Amino acid sequence: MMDSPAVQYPVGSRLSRLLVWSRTFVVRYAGIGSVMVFLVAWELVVRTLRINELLLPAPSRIAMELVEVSGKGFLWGPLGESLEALALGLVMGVVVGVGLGMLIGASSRLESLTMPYLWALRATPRIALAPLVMIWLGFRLEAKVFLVFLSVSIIVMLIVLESVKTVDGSLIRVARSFGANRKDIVTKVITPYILPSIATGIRNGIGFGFVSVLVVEMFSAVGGLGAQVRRARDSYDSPRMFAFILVLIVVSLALINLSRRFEAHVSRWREEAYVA
Amino acid sequence: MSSSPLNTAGERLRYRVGSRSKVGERVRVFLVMLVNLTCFAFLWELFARYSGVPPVFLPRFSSILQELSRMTAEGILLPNLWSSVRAFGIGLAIGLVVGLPLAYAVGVIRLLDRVLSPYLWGLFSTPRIILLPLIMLWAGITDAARIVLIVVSVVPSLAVVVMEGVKTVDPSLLRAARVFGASKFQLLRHVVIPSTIPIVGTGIRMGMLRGLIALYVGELFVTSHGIGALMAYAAARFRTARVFAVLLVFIAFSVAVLATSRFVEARMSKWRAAPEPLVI
Repeated sequence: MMDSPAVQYPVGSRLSRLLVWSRTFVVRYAGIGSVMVFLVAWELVVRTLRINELLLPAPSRIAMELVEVSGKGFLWGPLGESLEALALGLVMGVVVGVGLGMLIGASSRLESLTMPYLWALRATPRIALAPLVMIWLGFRLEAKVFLVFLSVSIIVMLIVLESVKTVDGSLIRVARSFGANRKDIVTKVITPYILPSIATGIRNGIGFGFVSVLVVEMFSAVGGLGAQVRRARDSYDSPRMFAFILVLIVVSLALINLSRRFEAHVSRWREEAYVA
Repeated sequence: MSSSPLNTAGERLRYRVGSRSKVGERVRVFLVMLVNLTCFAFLWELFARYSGVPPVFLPRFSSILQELSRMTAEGILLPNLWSSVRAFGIGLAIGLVVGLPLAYAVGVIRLLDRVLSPYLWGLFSTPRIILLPLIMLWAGITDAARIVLIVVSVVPSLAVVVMEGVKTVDPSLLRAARVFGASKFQLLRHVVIPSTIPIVGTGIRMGMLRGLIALYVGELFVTSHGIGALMAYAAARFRTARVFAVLLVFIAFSVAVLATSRFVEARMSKWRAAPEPLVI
């Protein structure tokens, strides 16, 4: 934004064209290029400095380990287990969160009644409930689903709640004067209005829900990809640990990217851009 | 999000009642809240006492309070709380010192933006808990690992918010400054930084909340002291009342952090419009 060319070369000269071309080329492909450079530099550093595999395995070693792990069936099964818990908890959490958010956001009495609890829920990381959930439900699927459900429903509720409060009052008045009843107002005015924030809630929920799954799995070392990471770490198998971590990073980036697209799709009609 | 001037239910309540004296209303809101919380505790006590749910699953509220005083007497509550607060403070300070210059550099220099922002966005989007094993590998199972985790959480959230904010600086201001012969450094010093101060406030708040998660996760998995460790230790021994007691302390700490961050944000965006009612 601030690097408008300080020196103007004469327009059309070969030098200026070359400069412009190289600048746009560098800028356009710098992202991919920097990842490639990063990987190559990593490989070179590990090889030339002979860094212990335990501390930092080379990318090529990690790639080989990835193939081996997926061949042995340590990868896809556990990944499915983790994603299953995430999906189940997410669906339940979104349904309950949207309902609660609309309910509390619509009634100012209910909101002032729940205010101290909303503050507590807003401030406290939801994974702080993980030890309690593990006491209640153990380490298996139910515990993971419940913790995902808790964190997703809370974050969706908080976001929907804020958004319901901003619904344009004149829209509701117009709907009413055209004879809409309560149900019509909820389904035809409020729901479309808060759809983008529901999508924002889902995106945030996926992030927090994934953390919840991983916390339970890494804590208990039972089931799912988090447990595989934990086991690899406990047996000092660094290449394997890096391979699993790589998979986790790719999966979480893909999930976030998907939910961002969904969010953009749903909020096409809005102009605001969301930070956070 | 469009900003409503009434952020919290308390303010809304005050607005509806019509604030004759601000202090009086504040006292009133506080009293309502106190009654509300007391009723909650009372109902909890009744339910736990008479519903037949075993105390391992749902301890009585009174035994949770007893546990608080017992932990204080054993001398394990305050030192652990202090350890958490200190780690959080150090991590946050390092995060600010590293994150702010980084954010401005990435926001202002386009090549740096292209090279670094994929990593920053990646760090911002991936759950930091994934990186925990790596941090433990490199920093050891030490106090430093907990602080590094906090820094790794604070820096990207601060940087992402601020560097996106730098891009929204009003271009006509920049043009005007350039017309009057401002150097790049002067542009940064007199235009970009002042107009992004409210965004820095938002970034600090997001960083603080994410840092809190990192603190908790770090204590759950890495260190043997701190609030999270205390909770994990109690949970592993099925001392549920103690888990709840520590959770109460942690909630109080978190609410204090959130209130502080909102205060900072409001102060930093004083000269602009009211802060948006963001949720997280």
